[in-house]
Amino acid sequence: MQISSQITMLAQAAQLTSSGASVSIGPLQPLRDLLYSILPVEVLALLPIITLIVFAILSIALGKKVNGVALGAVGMAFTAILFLIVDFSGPVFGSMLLFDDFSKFFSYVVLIAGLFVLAVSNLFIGDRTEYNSLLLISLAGALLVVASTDLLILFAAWELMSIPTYALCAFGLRKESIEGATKYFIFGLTSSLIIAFGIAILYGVTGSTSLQAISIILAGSPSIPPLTVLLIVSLFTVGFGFKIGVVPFHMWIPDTYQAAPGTVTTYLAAGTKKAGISAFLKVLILALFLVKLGWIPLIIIISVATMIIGNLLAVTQSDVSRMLAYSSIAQMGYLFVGIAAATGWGIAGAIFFALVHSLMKASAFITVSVVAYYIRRPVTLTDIAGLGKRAPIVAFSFLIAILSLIGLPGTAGFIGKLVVFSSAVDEGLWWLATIGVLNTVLSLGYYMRLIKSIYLEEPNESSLAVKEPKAATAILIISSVIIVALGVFPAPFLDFAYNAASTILPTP
Amino acid sequence: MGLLEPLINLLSGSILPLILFIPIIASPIAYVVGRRSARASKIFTIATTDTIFATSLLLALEFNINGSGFQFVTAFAWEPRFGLNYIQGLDGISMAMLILSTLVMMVAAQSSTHINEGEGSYFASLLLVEAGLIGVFTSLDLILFFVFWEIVLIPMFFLIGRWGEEGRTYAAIKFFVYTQLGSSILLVSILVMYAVSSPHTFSMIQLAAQGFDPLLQVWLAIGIFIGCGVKLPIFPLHNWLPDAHVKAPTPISVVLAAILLKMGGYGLIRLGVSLVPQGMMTLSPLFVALAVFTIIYAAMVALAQSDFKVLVAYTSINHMSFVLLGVAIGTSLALSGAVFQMFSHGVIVSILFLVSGMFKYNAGTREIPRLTGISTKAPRISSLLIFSSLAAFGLPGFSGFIAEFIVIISSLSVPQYVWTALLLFGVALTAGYFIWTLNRVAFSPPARGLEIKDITLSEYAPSLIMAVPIILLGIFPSLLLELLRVSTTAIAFRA
Repeated sequence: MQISSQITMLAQAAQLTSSGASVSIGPLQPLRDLLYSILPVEVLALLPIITLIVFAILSIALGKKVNGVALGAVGMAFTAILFLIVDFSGPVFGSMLLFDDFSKFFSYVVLIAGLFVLAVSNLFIGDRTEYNSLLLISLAGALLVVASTDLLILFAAWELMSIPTYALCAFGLRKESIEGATKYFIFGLTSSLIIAFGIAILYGVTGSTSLQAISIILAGSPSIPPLTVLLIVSLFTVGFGFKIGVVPFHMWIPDTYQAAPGTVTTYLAAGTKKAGISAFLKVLILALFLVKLGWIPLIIIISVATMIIGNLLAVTQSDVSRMLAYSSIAQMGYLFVGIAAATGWGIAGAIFFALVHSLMKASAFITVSVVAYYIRRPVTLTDIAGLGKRAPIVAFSFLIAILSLIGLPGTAGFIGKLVVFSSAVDEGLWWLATIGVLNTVLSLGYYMRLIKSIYLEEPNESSLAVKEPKAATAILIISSVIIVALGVFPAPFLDFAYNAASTILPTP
Repeated sequence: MGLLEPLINLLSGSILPLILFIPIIASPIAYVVGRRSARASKIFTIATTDTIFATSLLLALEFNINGSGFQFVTAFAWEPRFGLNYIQGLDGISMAMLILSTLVMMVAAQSSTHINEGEGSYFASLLLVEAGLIGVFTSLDLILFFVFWEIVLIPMFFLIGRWGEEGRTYAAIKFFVYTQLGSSILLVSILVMYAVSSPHTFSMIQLAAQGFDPLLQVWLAIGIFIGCGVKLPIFPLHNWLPDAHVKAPTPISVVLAAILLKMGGYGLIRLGVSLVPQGMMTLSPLFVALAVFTIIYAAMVALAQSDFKVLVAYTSINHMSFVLLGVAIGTSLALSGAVFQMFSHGVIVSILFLVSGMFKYNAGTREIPRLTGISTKAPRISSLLIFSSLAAFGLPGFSGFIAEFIVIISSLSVPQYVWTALLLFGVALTAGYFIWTLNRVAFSPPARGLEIKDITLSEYAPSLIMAVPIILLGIFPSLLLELLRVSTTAIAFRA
């Protein structure tokens, strides 16, 4: 039939086009060539990270004289541009760091999160210089985490990313922030130690800390007792799962997300969480794929528990930050469905979902920060009543983010869920996909209350106080446009995600 | 001529995307225009919906009723690696549904006279709903179908929740959650179809050609039934309808009843009958029983209503069960009857809801006991009430009779379903409560204390437009039946 042959031809044509090639930058190509020729490979690869550190130091040094946020935002922008120009691919320092499609994808996620956060920070606490430098250092750490392929460097970068965030959480204007930050710090420290323990055992069993070497060693098939595998996987799951925020390691998230300043929460939800996912995926897939039968059941259990508990607890909230925090937890459950499928599309779906979730939560938490800034207290459902009339652009971006969180077609969230659930069904886990879609309906219980409050209620004195600050509104518009664009034209980024997944999955 | 030809070629190759993108692009324009002037927004929307309706009529003239398969097909890659493709096409059934949707949206836009605030958003949402409907009825890729199926939800949520009457928020949320629940099950069924197909595909045409294992078909049919059954609606998934239809503003009730419900019927045919025919065959005793039960049940509940709009809402449930019956019987005639009923009910119920709106705004009440003797004071409203009531219970000469007759005859012609003659009890009940209503409302002496003013000509016009197909199809049913003949014969699963 004519139509089916048309479709087959289209699919074949798509596979023939090359993917994952370097970003071409046309007129700036001479600049790239110049950089490649004068800088040694190691410096070249780490140029964005070095830039971040330099600006962090500058922030502290010049802080009192120059506006801190501008410096941070400029530094971030500079880093992003450098990243695109340099676009380095390949291993650095032996097998310590590897810049490939996978790390690039997550680097983009981290950079976008950083850009959004710093662009919005001027409204809030951006005049504190320490805020900027801590944020920039944490971002540098995150960029290293997503590129590392050795467990030791991963751990070091992990700490570099996490420790500044402990301090950042305490920057809020209330004493609850200190409490939230302390809770986060204690949980974080414990989880870091658990990761270290996992690394130690894995090293003991395989004799190497390089992820690729480990996968080769495991392929050579020494017989490792299955309980040891389970122990290793459990340790890593606990350690990384804490940062990602899956049940039952999620306890710190609602308190910390509520108590921390809005921009820091945005960074936690959109930045460090995704770096955590990339680290977890690397360890699970790159290193431990061959023993996947050992960890898939664990991932499934965690995924189901996370979805259900996250959604159920979100329904009971009246504070919007806490509601969004539980929503983040539940969304990670959907992401884990993709990991449980452990196929090319499953992992690709999880990776794509990470990007999408980053955008959605950035929109959501930036909106909440804007409202919180004007009413000067934690935001509840009654505070955002009638926001649609009072601050239409901000409210509309929030609506797009919520629709994407629900997974309504036309938004990127739908594509993410589609790929993830479809890969689960493909692997025979149709019941997991059913639990997933039923959870989507459950989540309507709180998402609809948000929409109802914003659009179907009259403004009260809290929401009347809200205005639309220019920087935040601009970022929200950009974020909404990307969410819808990814929903309507997912192909470029979905293909990118698929390539990223292919680089860490072993070739069949 | 030299310049025109490539343009015509381009247009005819991609006429369906064009029809789809007109309302999508018009929607934000309507919003922006509405911020300046509400009236301009309304005129713009009416112009757009009129244009789209005219285009669909032209398309119908170009349509080859003897052609098999799908016509006007446009296909291009969306995310080819994953298997998502943008495929649109029309067969007889979709052509009929397309004409119905554009007609209903045109009438809905014209009858939006009582929307007084936020007109820009209102008309923008209305146009988005139209885009979603066109998308649903023309999609030939399952995920594309699902995308448009869901896209309709959010504008409808706002249309009910913001411009409806007392109790609208509850109705809007109930509508959204119920439909989303059904759609989620539908999505899982779609994903299962994709997973078991080889090669993996979402294309309806390829899936229909590949076929599925009979036992799996039963499960898929159940999933599709739940997904579409919420929308049709089918007992016991119908609970959202009375709230949503009654609390919505008049033009939105028209849209809901006249065309949104048909999405469910169309889904049952396009996804159920075409893709999992053996599953539908196995489950048809269950569906037939449900259909007959609902016909009688809904008629009984309607009988007990005193609010005219609620009465019409339950009449909708009653009529849509005929669609389920036709689909379950599955002969070519039965399927034609089901689609005929969808079309016919669409136009009839539009007038019924418009009349209920007239009661509300011109008399201040929709309570039948209080609305007596309107024929002297408000002859135009009365004429519409009489006309639509007669059509609604299937008086010969109107399209409703043809539809119900075809469905009943085809169900009686299947030997094991002779007992479906029981549904005639429901038909009699329907006739009963409509005539009783007419007696109380139109053919009675005017009540003291009831102030009713008649509608203007511009309010009369939309209903008159709807009256045309009711009579036309009642007298010349082959106009529609010929359109459906080839497509329903191709997918019928019972001889």
